[in-house]
Amino acid sequence: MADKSYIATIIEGYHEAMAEFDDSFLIGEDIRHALMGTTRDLVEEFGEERVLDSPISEQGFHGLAVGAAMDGKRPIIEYQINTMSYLGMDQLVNNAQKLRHMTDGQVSIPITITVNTAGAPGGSAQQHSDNAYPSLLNYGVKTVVPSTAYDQKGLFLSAVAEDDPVMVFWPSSVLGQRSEVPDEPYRIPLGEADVKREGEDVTVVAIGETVPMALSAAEELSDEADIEVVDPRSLLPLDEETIFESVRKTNRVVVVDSTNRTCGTAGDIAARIANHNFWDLDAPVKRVTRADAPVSYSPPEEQYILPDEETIIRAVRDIVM
Amino acid sequence: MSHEKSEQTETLLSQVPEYEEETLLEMYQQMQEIREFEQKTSELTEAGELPGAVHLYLGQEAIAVGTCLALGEDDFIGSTHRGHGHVLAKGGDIDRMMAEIAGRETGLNRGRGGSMHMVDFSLGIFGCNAIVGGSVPHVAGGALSAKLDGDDRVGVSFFGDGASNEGVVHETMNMASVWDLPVVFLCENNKYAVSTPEEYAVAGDQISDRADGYGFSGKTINGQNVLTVFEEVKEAVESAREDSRPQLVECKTLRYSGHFSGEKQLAWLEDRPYRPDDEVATWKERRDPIGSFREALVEGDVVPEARLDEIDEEVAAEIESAAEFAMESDYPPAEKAVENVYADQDYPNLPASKYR
Repeated sequence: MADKSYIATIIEGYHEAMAEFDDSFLIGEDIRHALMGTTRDLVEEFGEERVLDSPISEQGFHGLAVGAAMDGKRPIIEYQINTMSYLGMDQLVNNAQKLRHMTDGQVSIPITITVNTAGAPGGSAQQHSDNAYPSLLNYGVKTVVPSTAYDQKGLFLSAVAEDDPVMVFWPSSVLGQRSEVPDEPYRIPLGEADVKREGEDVTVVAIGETVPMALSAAEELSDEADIEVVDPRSLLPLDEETIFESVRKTNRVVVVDSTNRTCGTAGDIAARIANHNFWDLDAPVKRVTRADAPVSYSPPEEQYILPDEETIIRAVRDIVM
Repeated sequence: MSHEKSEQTETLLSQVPEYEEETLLEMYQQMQEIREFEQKTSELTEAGELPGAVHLYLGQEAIAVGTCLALGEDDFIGSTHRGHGHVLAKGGDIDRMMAEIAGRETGLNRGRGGSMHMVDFSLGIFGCNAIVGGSVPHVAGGALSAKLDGDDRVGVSFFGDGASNEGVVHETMNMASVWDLPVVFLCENNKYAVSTPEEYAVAGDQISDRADGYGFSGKTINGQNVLTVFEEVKEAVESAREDSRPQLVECKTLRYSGHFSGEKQLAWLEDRPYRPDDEVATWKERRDPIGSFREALVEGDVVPEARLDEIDEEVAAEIESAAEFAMESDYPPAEKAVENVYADQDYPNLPASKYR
């Protein structure tokens, strides 16, 4: 065990996964020089054959990874910027994700796709600020969004071991988060939520970068309400039971996520709660999300769009009053 | 500058007699404006005054200036994440550009887009773009529209060696050829796509050779010589206009700074640099677009050095004043964030707010 930053566990996770799986290789842009800080020392340890700096050809390298997976490899793709998934969308959704089904199980596509740091908040503007997972979840792509250093390493190593495509999102604002993290490899299974704070009065389900906001809101509100913060960590598969159990106890829930409101992840989780916990609820299920607008560059507009602690506090007060 | 004149300066000296003094001074001034603008932008970002990162155009000034001076007012351009120089050379308002980069209400996009999304459609600037290769098809689309209108406008698409490997760029080149579109594909080969060398990532001898595959003309030129850029691009633009056919011009250049403003903070790059230590210094000494041009103007007795010093001072004051204008401008009010998501805002709860 040692105190490690989130980004340190990314580097460590890459090294451990590539050491564990001889048939893995990493492909992405500027990974040999670790421009995003995540792939440090990999080329020194595993050589240029297994650490491929790609030309800027996202659909192409994504498709190459699919082909290599068809031939038995276990590729890891790193997207330098969050919206790169749009460029690889056909190979990701129409190919990687559907191949097992359309071949009736004749092939596995065990690709891990990591989605890197750049993003909101931070003046990244419209084209570099999306958390693209709601659309990918809608298409059935397994997805994890770790919010702590500890969760990151365990979920990443599980993602690599999965025999399907898995997206691993690293929210920019939690990269400095620190946890006690084991030095040796360990796995956190997909589909296991984590109760980040126990409480009796209100459940706040928070995803990724909104987990620290929810925890801070819970402290801020501690005189008014005892808040339980549930971090699903894995969005598909989703650990519904931990969420349902929490709502059975608290009877009130706010779902928080930094993606758009319409057809967003929070909407889906809220619908499941409304369906399952209807008779447990003492108040409407509330959502705090992004506004349905692209993210602006100027700080006041950017803040207006993104979920924040203040809005979480408002939502909690609206259902405990 | 080294005492011995560089090959580039010698070439420039042979070219300057063909030009009016006014044109040469305009070129000098514009290149100097871009350089000062970028240095100021760099200072502001290092001082933490800007909301986001910037991608500096330092070292590539001759390309934007030589190209945009070869265009007519109605011609249009598409730009990149490294677009400040293009916008400036196409006539972008310096104050409003600086304000945009500072995220202020007086900016070209009202502070909403920032460094990577500046536009001015009234000047034929279809926009910078944060997605590599993203603007290339837009320019071809503009050329298609011009063709449908039956006018003779030409579009110039700036893109880099990195973008030359994007599928959309290849697709666009093919369509521009099969549909006879008046587009000049203007590749700024600055040697590195972020950290990835062009020599490693781009197949074939030269990016301009790719034009052959699509059945139009391509050429590779020295992007550090503003007169060469002007002459060669002018020829390509006029040919695109007359024949309604695409052209590819590859300009060899080098960016002096890192890929983006945050690169200096990446300490590990010091142990593992992606380019040779002396590369930038050598280019600055032998191939600087402004230094060599200045030397040729003075040595060629086109203008006295004092006149160039005067321009330098005027430009410095102009950029300083733009920075002051930007920093004194207000941020836009937060609630404007949801304006202009859609054309019509009369529908209820559209766009949805983050909480209700």
